[in-house]
Amino acid sequence: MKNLQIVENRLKNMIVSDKKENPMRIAKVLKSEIVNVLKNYFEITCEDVNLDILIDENGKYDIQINVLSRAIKIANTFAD
Amino acid sequence: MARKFVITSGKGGVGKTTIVASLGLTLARLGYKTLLIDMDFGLNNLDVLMNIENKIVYDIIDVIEGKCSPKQALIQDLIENNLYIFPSTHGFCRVKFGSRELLAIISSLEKYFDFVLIDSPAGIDGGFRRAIGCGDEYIVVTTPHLSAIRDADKIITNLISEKKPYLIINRARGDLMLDSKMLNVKTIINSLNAEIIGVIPEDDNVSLQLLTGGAFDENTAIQKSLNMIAHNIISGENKIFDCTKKYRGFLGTIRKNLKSRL
Repeated sequence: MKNLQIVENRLKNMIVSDKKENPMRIAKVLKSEIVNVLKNYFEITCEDVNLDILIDENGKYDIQINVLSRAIKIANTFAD
Repeated sequence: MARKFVITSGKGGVGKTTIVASLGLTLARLGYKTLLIDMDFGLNNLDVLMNIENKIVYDIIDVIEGKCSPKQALIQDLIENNLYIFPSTHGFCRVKFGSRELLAIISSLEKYFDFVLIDSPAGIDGGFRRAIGCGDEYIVVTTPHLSAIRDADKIITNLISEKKPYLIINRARGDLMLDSKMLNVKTIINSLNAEIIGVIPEDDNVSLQLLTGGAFDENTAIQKSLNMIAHNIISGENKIFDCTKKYRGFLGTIRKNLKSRL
């Protein structure tokens, strides 16, 4: 029973640790896509977007996006 | 239009080809026209399992090179009339090809079938990518072992599909699971982001099938579990074979103890 618990924990740790590698690959592309969408509504550059993909102990992703913008493009909100 | 399943795994030796062969036979037995395609180029063994290695006239490379039509390369199963096998090439691949060429071949054949089962090579390299490009639905196979589950997780992460991939846990030992000597089905399901479609118990009949070819006896645990998987695929239900049932209760405990002493 104790051995199985150790194996279960090992499996959990392995999967969580493997998952940590994935966000690094997509973070750059995701950031660029987010900038492209937000650019239509706000005045922003790539440096204004802070994107963090964290992973909790259960292997779930916590995506945190922080954006600072100097101005809003209200005209675009009403465009067809 | 056929439903096209790619049967894949991260780790080799988990039973992909055996599952493709036996699930294909099961679907064919139920009256569905089924095509098996071996995409493990160079290391193919589906022909051996299906006992047709001496009946191959044309292989997939001959079709790509235009030496024959896709239909001419098909081989009908010796037992089930509804089952056909598309043989892969053995040894070194003479030509370069990708998913596009293979997809064109499959597209020309799928109108004749209800199901297409594609046997993918293990791993996440070019062969895997070529195979997954040819299917619409994916079945990831794993065993209850750490390395296989970890690799299955990597495969699931690499699959791009609108549908959640299906999961088959192969070689499950109910007696060991009850004694907490093997990772149980629930733990494996909770670890992987896939929809469980079947649990196949470890069965000595597989060794016999690998030697002689052909289908499993209907009364064997392995065939019962395959029938459930086929039923789940067809109906969309989710009935899973309970590999621990045999070892529960008074008689089950005796059975389990006897097995542990063997």
